[in-house]
Amino acid sequence: MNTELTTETIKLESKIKASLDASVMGLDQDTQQALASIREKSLKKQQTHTWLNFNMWVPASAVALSALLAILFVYQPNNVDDALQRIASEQTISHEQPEHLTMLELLTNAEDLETATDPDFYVWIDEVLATEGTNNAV
Amino acid sequence: MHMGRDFDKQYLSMNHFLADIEGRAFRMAQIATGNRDDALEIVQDTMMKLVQKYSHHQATEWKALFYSILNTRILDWHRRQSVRNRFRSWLNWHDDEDEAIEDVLAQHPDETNHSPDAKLQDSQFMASLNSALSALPLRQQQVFLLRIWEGMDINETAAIMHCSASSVKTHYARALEKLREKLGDHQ
Repeated sequence: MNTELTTETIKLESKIKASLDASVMGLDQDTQQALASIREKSLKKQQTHTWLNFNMWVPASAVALSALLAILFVYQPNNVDDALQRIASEQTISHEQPEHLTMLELLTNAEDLETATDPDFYVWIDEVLATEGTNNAV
Repeated sequence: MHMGRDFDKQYLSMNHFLADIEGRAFRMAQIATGNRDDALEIVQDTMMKLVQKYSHHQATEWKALFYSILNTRILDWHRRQSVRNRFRSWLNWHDDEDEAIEDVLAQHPDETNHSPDAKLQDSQFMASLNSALSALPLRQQQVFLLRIWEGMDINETAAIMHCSASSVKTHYARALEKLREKLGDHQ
């Protein structure tokens, strides 16, 4: 009984496979052409993909090189010196600002009020500020 | 099962591989969707993805990868279709032109050298087979076709279907039982 069933099953499986194979062989011309065209299109995509991958390095390298040249052109050593000089002069101009701030701090702080009322303190602070002014001026 | 097995066939190029497989892939998609154009679209998507993403893999892996993609595409198609059908039934919208299930007889081979009687019998068997395969649940259908047509073993089929080996055995046994019931008269 089991052997009979197995033989029958094998026979059915073979028949189904043969029938499916025959259905592929019997595909109409339009479908066969459509499949060939799809295959061709897919393979072209593969070629385009590879080509793109290779060629993507060329513009990327060009952009990177241009950016590097631009940076070197803008920030060349002379320009760097100019920039440093500009910063230094700005610092000299704004040197007056800390003096006012120091005076304001002294006046608002109660602990230092005694010192602030001492005339010798003003002589000393003038000397200190004058010394700082000459040291900071670049 | 001692089917003719061409799974280990050596493919010289991607073109060679696709040319060998495209007909069977199309028929599988057609049986699953019942629609020629949808089947062609599914095969196209599958080929494109295989070529773009996996062409650098070894040729021996192509078949498993191809069928894995194909089955996923077919599954996606069924999901989209079920959503569309639900939406249509909700709107009670019947479009006679759309989604016409193709006449399976249109795909019959007519170039065989059999006698008229044998030809008629083959034709009838083919029609019954198409109808029986289309009626199978999708997973059973896919497992059955991979095993019987592509000659894949249980583990290969399980890997492609992303399921266990025991599920493959169950799906195959159920599919075969249903087909035996429906095609019994033609044996």
